[in-house]
Amino acid sequence: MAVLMYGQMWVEGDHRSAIARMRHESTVRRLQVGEDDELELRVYYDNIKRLSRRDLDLLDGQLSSLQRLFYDMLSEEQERGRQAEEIIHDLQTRLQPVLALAENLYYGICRVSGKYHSLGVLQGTADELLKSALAMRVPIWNLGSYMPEYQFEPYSLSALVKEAIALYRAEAERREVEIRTRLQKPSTIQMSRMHLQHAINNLLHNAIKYSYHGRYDLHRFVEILSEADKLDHVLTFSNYGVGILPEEFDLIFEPGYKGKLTYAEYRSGSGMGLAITKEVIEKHHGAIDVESRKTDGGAYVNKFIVRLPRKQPQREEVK
Amino acid sequence: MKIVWIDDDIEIIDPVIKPLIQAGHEIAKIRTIRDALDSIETLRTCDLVLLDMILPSGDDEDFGYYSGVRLLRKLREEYDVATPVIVFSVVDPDRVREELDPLNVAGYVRKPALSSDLKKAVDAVLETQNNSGAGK
Repeated sequence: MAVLMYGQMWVEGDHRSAIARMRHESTVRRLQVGEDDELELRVYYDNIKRLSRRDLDLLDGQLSSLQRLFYDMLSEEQERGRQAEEIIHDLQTRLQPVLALAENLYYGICRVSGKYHSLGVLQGTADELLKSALAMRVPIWNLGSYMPEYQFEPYSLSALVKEAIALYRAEAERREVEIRTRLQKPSTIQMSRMHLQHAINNLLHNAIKYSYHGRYDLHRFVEILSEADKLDHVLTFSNYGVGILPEEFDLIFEPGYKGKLTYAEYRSGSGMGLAITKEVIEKHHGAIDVESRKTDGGAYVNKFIVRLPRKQPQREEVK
Repeated sequence: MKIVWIDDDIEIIDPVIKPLIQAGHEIAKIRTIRDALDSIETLRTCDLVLLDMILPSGDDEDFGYYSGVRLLRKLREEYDVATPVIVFSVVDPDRVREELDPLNVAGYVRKPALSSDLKKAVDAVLETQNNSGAGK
């Protein structure tokens, strides 16, 4: 329900993307949502929207995080070896603030209407969502239908970056991480848009997620720099964050590998995100490199540098 | 009352603690086992601890998957921390109950829980403390 509700918000918003709409509609089909459920969803959403913009923004951020995890879980076919308990942990942890926000909003609605009802239904909905997600996991992976075939078309890299920023702005604000950009125009290349969007989303989300929690007295920021030389477009994602050890520079792109320092700090993540990102970039005949340097104060400066050829080879060369 | 919440997922905390804040409680947050072990006096003198079972170490030491159990054992046995603890975690209580039982756990609330249910559990423990004369 939470994912569907979030999808509804995306569809109704005036700045939301076609990809989000497609994902939402696909999810509605998968879950076989009836007309009554959709109507209930819309009424609930409208009530909340009227009540509190700030709380809705908070809920939006939490649901964005949940949605990302949900879709990643469905799409990461190679992740089958992951412990079910870890997946449950990640999902239920993200459901916790959703439930709390929903409850707070619900009491707000009750205060307005003067009627208080049992909240068991909310908890039941959260449980149902989790069970549905887990039940769907294996069959959907087997279908292998989430990530479609690579379809190349001209599109702007800067537009992908802006899309990713829109997706994670709420999370960045919650973590007090500033997002800075310097995007060069034009940045249009032949790309498989959905795949490259997935890769850029992942790099930005990692940069936000693995920024420091304030142990060091630093202004926290993520910087995305887009520039071009004769051959390539170069996208650089920088942050002050949890570092990567030199001996891990190649390992972190291996499927399932979790960085030692990030895992010690967070105990979360599937270890699949960077592997998928690298695969997508290589399908575009590009390359990804990492730099991680410990500063005098102990914090790390991390950079993920993506090079994509300005001129993509003819499609028949792409396998 | 002063409550310490030990949990690495700090972004989940604000909406969950809203009813506790509204009731006048003060909430301090600790993210890692290392930070908890560096805050022993705070843990000793607060009124209640909310403890996750899956915590990052914060350094190189490996505390195992249910690292919260090992942290609680350390607090009880090595640091003499007697503060009541409510385990607030995704982990199924049955998976850790055997290890937790000797460590004097006051309650168990499984995530995801309603904030109001967490508050009820907190109120119950604090009331028991006050009735027994152990409240601060």
